[in-house]
Amino acid sequence: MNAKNRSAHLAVVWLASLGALSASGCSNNFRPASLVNHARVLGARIEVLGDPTRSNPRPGESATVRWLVGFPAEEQTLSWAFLTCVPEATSYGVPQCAHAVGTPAVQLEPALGAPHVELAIPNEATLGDANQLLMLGSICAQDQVNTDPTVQAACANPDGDGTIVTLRVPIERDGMTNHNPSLDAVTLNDEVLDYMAAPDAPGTGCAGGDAPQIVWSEDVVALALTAVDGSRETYTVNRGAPPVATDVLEDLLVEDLSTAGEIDLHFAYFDDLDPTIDLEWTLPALAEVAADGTLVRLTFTMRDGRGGFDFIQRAVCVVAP
Amino acid sequence: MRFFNGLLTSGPMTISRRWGRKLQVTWALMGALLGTSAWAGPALAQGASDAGTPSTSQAPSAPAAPVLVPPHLLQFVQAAYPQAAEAEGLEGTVVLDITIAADGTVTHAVVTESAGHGFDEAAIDAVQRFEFEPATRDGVPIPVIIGYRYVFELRVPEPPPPAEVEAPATGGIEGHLLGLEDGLPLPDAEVILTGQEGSVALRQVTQADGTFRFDELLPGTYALRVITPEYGDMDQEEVVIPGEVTEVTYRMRLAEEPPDDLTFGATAIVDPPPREVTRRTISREEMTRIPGTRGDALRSVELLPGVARPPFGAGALIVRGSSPNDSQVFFAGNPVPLLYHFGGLTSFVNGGLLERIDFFPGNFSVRYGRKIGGILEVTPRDPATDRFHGNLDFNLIDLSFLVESPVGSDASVAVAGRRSILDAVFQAALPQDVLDNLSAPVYWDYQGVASWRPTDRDQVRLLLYASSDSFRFFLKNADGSDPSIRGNLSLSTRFFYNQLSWTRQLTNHVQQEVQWMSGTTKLHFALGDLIAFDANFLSNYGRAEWRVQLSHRVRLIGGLDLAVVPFDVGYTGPALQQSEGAAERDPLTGQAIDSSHFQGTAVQPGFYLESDLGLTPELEVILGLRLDYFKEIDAFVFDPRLVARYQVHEGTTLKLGAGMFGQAPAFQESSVDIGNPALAPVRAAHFGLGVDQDFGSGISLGVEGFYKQLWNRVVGVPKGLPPRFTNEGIGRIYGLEVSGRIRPGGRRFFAYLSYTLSRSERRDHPGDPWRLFDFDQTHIFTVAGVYRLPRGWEVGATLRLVSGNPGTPVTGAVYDGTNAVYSPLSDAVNSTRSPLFNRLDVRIAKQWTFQSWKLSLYLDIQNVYNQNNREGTRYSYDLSQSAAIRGLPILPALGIRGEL
Repeated sequence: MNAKNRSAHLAVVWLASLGALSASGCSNNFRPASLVNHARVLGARIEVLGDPTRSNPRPGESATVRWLVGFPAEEQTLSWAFLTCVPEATSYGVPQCAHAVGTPAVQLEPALGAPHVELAIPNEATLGDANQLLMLGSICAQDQVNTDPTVQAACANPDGDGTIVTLRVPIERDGMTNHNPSLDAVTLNDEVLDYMAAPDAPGTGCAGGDAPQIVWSEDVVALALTAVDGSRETYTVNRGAPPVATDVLEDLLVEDLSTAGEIDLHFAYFDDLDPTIDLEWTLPALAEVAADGTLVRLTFTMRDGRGGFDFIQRAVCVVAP
Repeated sequence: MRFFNGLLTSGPMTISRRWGRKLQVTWALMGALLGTSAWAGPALAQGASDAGTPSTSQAPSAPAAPVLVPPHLLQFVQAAYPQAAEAEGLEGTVVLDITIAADGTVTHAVVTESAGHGFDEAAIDAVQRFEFEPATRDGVPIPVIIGYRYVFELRVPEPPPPAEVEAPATGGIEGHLLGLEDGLPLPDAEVILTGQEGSVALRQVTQADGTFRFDELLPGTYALRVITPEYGDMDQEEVVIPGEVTEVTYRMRLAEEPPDDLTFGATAIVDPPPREVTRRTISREEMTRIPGTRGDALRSVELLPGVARPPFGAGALIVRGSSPNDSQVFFAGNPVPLLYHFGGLTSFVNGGLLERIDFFPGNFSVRYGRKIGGILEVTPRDPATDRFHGNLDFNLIDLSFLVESPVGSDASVAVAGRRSILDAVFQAALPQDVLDNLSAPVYWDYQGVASWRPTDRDQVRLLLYASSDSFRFFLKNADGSDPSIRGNLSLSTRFFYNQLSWTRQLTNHVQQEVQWMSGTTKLHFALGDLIAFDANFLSNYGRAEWRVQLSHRVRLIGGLDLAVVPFDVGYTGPALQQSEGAAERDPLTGQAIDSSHFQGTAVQPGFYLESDLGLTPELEVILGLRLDYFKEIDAFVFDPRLVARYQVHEGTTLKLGAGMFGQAPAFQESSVDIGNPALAPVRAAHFGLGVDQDFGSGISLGVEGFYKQLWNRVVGVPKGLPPRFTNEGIGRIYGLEVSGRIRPGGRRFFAYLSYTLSRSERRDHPGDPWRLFDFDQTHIFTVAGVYRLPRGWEVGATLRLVSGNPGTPVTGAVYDGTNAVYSPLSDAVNSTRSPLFNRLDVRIAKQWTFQSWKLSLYLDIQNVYNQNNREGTRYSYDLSQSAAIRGLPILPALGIRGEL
């Protein structure tokens, strides 16, 4: 080992010590954040009745809120309950209701299909100063939803697979319309991936089927996402002190999910730095790949931070070599 | 037959002993001053130096050097030789601290090194009957404590006097004392000459050129003992020939062990009388040798009772269950914003430049205000006045240096600096694309000290010091749990302070201290577009204090201090929450963002008056009053405080204290835009009761119970709604502290032991249940020991056992469909606790002494057995899984240090 290498080696050893120092606080064996291994709520899309591209209804309009739930394999039955209200003023913490708007929407018995709620936005007099509504609720898979507000659980069975959810529904009161963004395409190893599995498609036995086949290897799989042009809208926000009205171009937050393996970035952005999103997907361990192929569902959601939402779902079949 | 003698002299004199044949003299322990003459304390430090103790610098509050004359022994009393010891043929040496009153009488004597077998009692009985010509300061008699060594030695009886013969001719000894390493003369060393059969005992102090001379000595063999503080002792025998002068030259090697009188608060430095119930002082010599500190003096503070262990990397000072914001670090009398650089590994000041570290965990003097927790006073020393000194220290974390030198006869300067080397290592080891996104943590600091004594009564001191920490990281990808955490993450803390102080002895009874500090403080934190915090402070701080000795038993201290701090603060980020006692935080994503920019000037004058009353020789009462004004919230605080100390009997002191304390809310809490300007000052009452026991032989133990009540605590309004903060919070803290110190007569070993049992609770709003403080640690046990081996080796170890910090369990989560993040549902705040923290640190050092310099190599290993201590809890993206945040792994630090 020459002197240069020796010094580099020492530096690396020393850095490793420092790394151990800093990483000592961070090591864990958590499941990947991108992994959908249970009935996982992934977001909600708000569509103004009559103009589904708009995500912020005006007072007096109606809108549909449709929740997206991902499953590790075929679709599961869901029960749900939602309460829509004018939110209590708050600066942090889980939002709370000030007063309800309309009546609760409940599906007590589990059934197939995405949870959805029809909202009738109150008129301006009823809204007062509120510029958004709050939706509080629970979504429970394969069990009855909990309707007891004194119990902090989504399912009637506290050990059930459920999620307590909130959603803010922005209301257009300043003339600034917001539209749902649109994801355009997904490529897998530079090939367009457009296969969508049926909701009831089983999680195994896909080998030789319609789904694109990927032979398992230790190599990562390249995924890329693009958004429809114009998805990033400009809006005006008050910034600075004293506040100054400033035009801002949206950054679109993308959440990357798969039912097996791990995607390197759970979150990514379409922003000034990244007009496209490039991801690396590590396939599941070989032992987890079924002999007749494992169907892996890929879900990508996109948010504009102002209530706009879109998602795209694809699937591939991973087969053992 | 028996033989013994007592040993003390303060000038060339002979002590004739009928039985004497060995004479030793020591001024080693110019100890703590009697309680009624505050100004004389530092003065005696100079006096000790005059008498041969190495010069040690004075605190910034120290007065100008007055003219000091040590006490003279006028009446020596022979002790009764213990019969049993005599029968067994035992000999012994008893070392005592003798308190000499201003009238020259001995008022108190305590054994510091016991000889057992009845020698101690005999020595005490004898020295209490000594009579002295009292020590004087500027001609005024003052009380002092001196060290005294009483030697008991058996010997055969002297033969009867010979028949009268013709007196023989006499001779002499003329000597020259030099340093072996540098050949320079050694002035002020003591040379004790003992004649055959103890027939004569003479003492000389070497002159400025290192010479000494004894004349008119009878022919024969004489024993000479040379005593120097820095070079240790040396024994020689010389022969005197009639009509001749025996010329000798002695070359002394630097002692491997620093002399005892380099310790602080105990020997060469004479402390002012206590103004607090509890004041814990770490000696300079010891504080750089504590294992686990990498030789960083200020990190030894963590060993003291009442100091909680800061969580990993926080580097905070947590005193008796108080929030870090409630305690204050003072450097040279001025408040500084931090104690440690990043990660708490290194303090902001070079340990070699420190005179002392005083820690007041509660019930502190009215000299200190605007804080309700504890006080850490870090005092730099004066630069060396004898010659040029310097040292260079290099280890795997940083590089530091210190140089100091006299300038003329009245002044001296020192400059110290330090810089981290992490960035250099990063630069060498990481690829460029990584470096483009990462700026390694960089810290540096410097201190410059210039001291000038234009007259015997004045000292002027200029200090320039600064500290900087900066760090930048670019997070290209969003965090997997909180996507708003991305982009630039940068953090920096900087301050540049300049201070001028002037201490003057106005009269023999009045001392004045004036100082002023000006400088800038800059704080910065940014996280992407979400959070930006930039604060600039023009820090101005001044103090004027007068100390007046009204009578032998009454002292008054009055002063005023003033903080004037123009500030300019910009903040963009989520609504501020209360700094302590919050549940698991929500993700940043989706939170409402506040923006605020505010300017102003904090003006905080304080006035204080303190009286020190010696009601009886055993009872001392200190009454203090302090008045503070906080302009930013337009509020006054009046704090009365009381401290009493009662000496129950020899070596046992009872102490109690009670007082009120107040501080302003943090500036952001009382700001108009993001806080509540109507807040009132935070208040606290401290109560303490304890006992100190000195067992002799260098073993002492202190036990103290304390209780603190807090009210007007600033707490957040639930949900962050206006007025955002209120004074509804209260708190209570109670506990017991035990401190032990072992430093046997030899100088090879010392040990600290501390244990704190405490509970710190808070209630944030009326009707809320009590909860634990964020850093409540029920048990804090620390033991540290250092042993100096021969040939320059030294080994030491520090063991810490500390209760884990409380935590708030997460019981569930709520999914935010708007932002794709999960908010926690939490159980009661701080209702769980991490497991016991335990860690062993070891330090091994080797020193080589050369002709004119020293070289040290040290290995300081923190967490030797790589204990996986839990510092907190980390959660998965949906909070359904949790894992421990682990603390510092094994961390060896190899360092090298050169010293001139």
